[in-house]
Amino acid sequence: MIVETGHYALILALSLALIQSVLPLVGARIGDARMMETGRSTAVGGFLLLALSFTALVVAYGTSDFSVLNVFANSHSQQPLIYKLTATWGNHEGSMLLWVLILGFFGALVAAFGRDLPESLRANVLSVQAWITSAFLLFILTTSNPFTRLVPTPPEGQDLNPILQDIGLAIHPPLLYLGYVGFSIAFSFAVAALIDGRVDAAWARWVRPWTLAAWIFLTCGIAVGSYWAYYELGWGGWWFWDPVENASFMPWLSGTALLHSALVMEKRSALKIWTILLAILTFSLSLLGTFLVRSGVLTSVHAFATDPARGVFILAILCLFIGGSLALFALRASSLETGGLFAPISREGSLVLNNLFLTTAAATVLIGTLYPLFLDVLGGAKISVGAPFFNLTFGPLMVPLLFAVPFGPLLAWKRGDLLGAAQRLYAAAGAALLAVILVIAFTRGVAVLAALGIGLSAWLMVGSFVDLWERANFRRAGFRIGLSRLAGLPRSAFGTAIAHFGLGATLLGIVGASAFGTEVITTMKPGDTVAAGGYEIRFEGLSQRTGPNFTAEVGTFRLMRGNAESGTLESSRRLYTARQMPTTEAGIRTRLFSQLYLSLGDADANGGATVVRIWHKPLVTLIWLGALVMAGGGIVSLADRRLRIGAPARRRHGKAKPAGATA
Amino acid sequence: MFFWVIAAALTALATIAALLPLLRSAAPARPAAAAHDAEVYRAQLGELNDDIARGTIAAFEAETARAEIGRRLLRASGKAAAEGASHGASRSTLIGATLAVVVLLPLSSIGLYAYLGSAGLPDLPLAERAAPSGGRDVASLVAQAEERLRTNPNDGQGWAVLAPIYLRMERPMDAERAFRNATRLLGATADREAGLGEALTQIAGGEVTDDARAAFERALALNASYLPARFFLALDLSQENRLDAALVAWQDLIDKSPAEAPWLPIANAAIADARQKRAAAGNGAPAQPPASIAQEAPAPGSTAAARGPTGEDIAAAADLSAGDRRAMIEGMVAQLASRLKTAPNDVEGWKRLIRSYTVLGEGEKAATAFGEAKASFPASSAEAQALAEFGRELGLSSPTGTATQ
Repeated sequence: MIVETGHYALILALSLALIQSVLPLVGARIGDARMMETGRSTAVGGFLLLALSFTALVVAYGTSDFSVLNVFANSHSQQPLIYKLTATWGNHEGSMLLWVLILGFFGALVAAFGRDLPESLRANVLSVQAWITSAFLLFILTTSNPFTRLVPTPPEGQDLNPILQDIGLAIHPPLLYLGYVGFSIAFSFAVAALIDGRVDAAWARWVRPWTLAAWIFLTCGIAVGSYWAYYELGWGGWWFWDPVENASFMPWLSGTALLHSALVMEKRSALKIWTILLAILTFSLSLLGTFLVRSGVLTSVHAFATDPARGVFILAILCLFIGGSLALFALRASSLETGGLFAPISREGSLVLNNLFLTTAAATVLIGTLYPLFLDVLGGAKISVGAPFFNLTFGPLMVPLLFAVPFGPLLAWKRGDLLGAAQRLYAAAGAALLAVILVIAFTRGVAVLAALGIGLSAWLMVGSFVDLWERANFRRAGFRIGLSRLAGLPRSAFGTAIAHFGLGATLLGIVGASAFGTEVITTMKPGDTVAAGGYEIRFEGLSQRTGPNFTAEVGTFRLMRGNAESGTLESSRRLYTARQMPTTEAGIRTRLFSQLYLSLGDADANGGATVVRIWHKPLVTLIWLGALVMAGGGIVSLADRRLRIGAPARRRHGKAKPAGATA
Repeated sequence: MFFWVIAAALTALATIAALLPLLRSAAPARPAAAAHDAEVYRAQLGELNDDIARGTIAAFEAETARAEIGRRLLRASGKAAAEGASHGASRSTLIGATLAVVVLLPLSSIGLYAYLGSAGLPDLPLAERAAPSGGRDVASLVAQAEERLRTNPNDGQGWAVLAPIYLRMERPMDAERAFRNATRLLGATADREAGLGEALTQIAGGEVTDDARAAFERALALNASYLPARFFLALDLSQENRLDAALVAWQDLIDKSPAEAPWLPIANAAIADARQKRAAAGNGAPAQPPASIAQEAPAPGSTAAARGPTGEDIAAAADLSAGDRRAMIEGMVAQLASRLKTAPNDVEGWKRLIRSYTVLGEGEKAATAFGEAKASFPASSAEAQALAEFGRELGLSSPTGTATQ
């Protein structure tokens, strides 16, 4: 009965979303407050129904109710409870339900906290949001219903894919979806503005925090996913330019661009049309990611089930929303008012530069991801576009952007002083130069590119705090006054500095792990010793263990550093009995930011030797820590609740005349 | 019934949520959007003044910012005055909206649910499902036995007791491991070899594989009168479409079985099926519609022996009754059918499913599955041709019109 209630609630949520799609929109059109008001009550009601439905599915999973086909196909009574619960979204149907639940959640937030929005804008936003909800609910109910029943009920389920039986499944998809779906709010605001034909003053003030929140979740989601793949797949890589990864990376790139252009729009009401276009593109890329992952066009661990009907349906949704919103943009963009003017060398100008690079990078990734698909569809060869392509295109695009990052915050709004900014960055330049020299001096072999990479990250990390340092004015004002001035600075300035610092840290991790990492592949018998990453590693032997729903062969290794013992490391091969599927569990030892990563290969049939792969990855954890720091910067910035307005700098000549007067 | 009460309550709440704003008395005329803009700018001015008071903004920056906000405010106020307030919906529009909510929301929800849902089907969580046949006890006993075996994996008796229970719990992989361990530690018996064969058959989704057949043959070599092994060997012959040999084997099984043996309905159905196919092949005439098989054969579950949960305890579970076996086969087939529902591009799986239905005497289901299978592959594909060939072999002809749903 719980199951059927959940099913009914899902259907009811669709009906309510259909009403929400029409009434508030009509209300906004004819200016009727009562009809506009229905948007709020239906949005909240719809979210509650979706929550009820999702809870019902979670309960079915928690109690191993195999009379639900979806539970039967993705759960097993022997699974630990936590994986029984997370299995709810470890499959196509359940994850789509989570997707829509989050969509409803964001809609309800707009309804609940959107009091200071103009009524017609709020009504339009909620209607657009309901279009998306309706489309996806229809998709779920017609092609991927999680509540389909199974009679007669089998006594045992088919188990969750063992790779997904990990704490990562509890964190990665919800975070990623919060990010993907969070961009839907920016999209709805953009479409609402286009429908209304005007951009309200409150528009950017609302869109920027929403975008920022979505961006924070997406950043964390991607970082967690990357780390999960790193330790679970057992081949030591943390990013594969796999199409599914790209699918989450593209919205991140354009979302980062959106974040920066929304900043310009909020503070200076410039770049309005561009921001609206970016909002549409970002959510379109989120939808495209969903399509690529869910349709079965790409087969990977994410493509839980492939079914042509689903692919066609998602493709239709994709065409409807992307095509529709772009067509609307083409029709209405010219009628929107353009905003303030600014000189090329200015904060705005630097953010435009940022946008150009980020969107080009997103386009590059898009081409690299879709080209093999198109080639395949057109009957050409099956090719895969991998790391070499992205290293040659994406890498060179990022270098100038990263170089330019510290300049941005130092330039004034409206018209800036590039030379002055460069002069203030002498400390960062010094740090970068020092880093380059140190790396070249202390590494054998000529790793010039790596040294330059590390120099670039030093430049970024030091450069990101120059703005704070300058604004606190420690040099002239002295330590104490400087400190109090620092405390008085807006939180968003700290957010910027922290996020840019995190970017530098991630870069440092990437360069460190890829340029200075070492790898050893060897066969070892019990008692053998091998040296890697500054450790002497002794293979103690294999032992058998039994987990709740798997059996494992555990290899134990004793680590020696110099002459000192430094503990043991375990790495294992597991066999999940229900699916007869093997997985590897890597043994990882973290030392400061570097990691020793040990993974068991196949055992030799005769003689007890086993293949062992050992990687030493210097600074590798900085990749993910940097991403988390970036997200932290976002959170700090999000906490800045002031009404923000960018104060343009005074003109250098003609001091009596305020700058704004010429605009 | 209780479900419908909840459904009605939910529908009522949803309708009220959508309706409530519409039923309120006409709201005062709303300010135009530009007026809202002006409000935002005024608030910005206030913030700016606060900033100046706190000293977080330099005087000249504040001055220019104030000038900029001021200009925006002037523009917005001018517009607001020009726009004027809006009037709202006419009476008829509101009535239309109200009717749409009151009528469409419940109708579409209940209609769609009637089409998609399974009202009245209760939840079947693991705990409840296992309870009636004492399964909860079995589950905890099994867990205890597993714990013991974890510490003492060479306890042959433990594996021997656990193995058939695994089989009944539809954990065939565990059953296979347990049977193999028991045989390794205690030596082979007809029970254990046949049990291994059943486990392998379950793993293969109901198909008697070569390994399974070898196990059943070993069981018969140990005990020639062990009928369950004969049953599976005959099933194997039917599955491989060796009709003459199958007829002999089934007849042999029937002759040797006691009158109340639970596999007799299956055996009879299989014989009828084999005869009919042989006749069809001999005449070269188009095969009879498969429904006739179902008429000849006793409907599944029509005999008391073919079903019925057994309330036996662990010790008795080791001696699996044939009624359980029938239920198990049906469960196996259901499992396969549901797997194909989610992953339909598996030709071998479809063949196995269709064959299983035929052997179980469920001709209609076989024909439906055949149609579904054909619909899962493009007509020109190699898979579709293989399926058509397979259908001819089994004497199944699915009329072109009903091949797709």
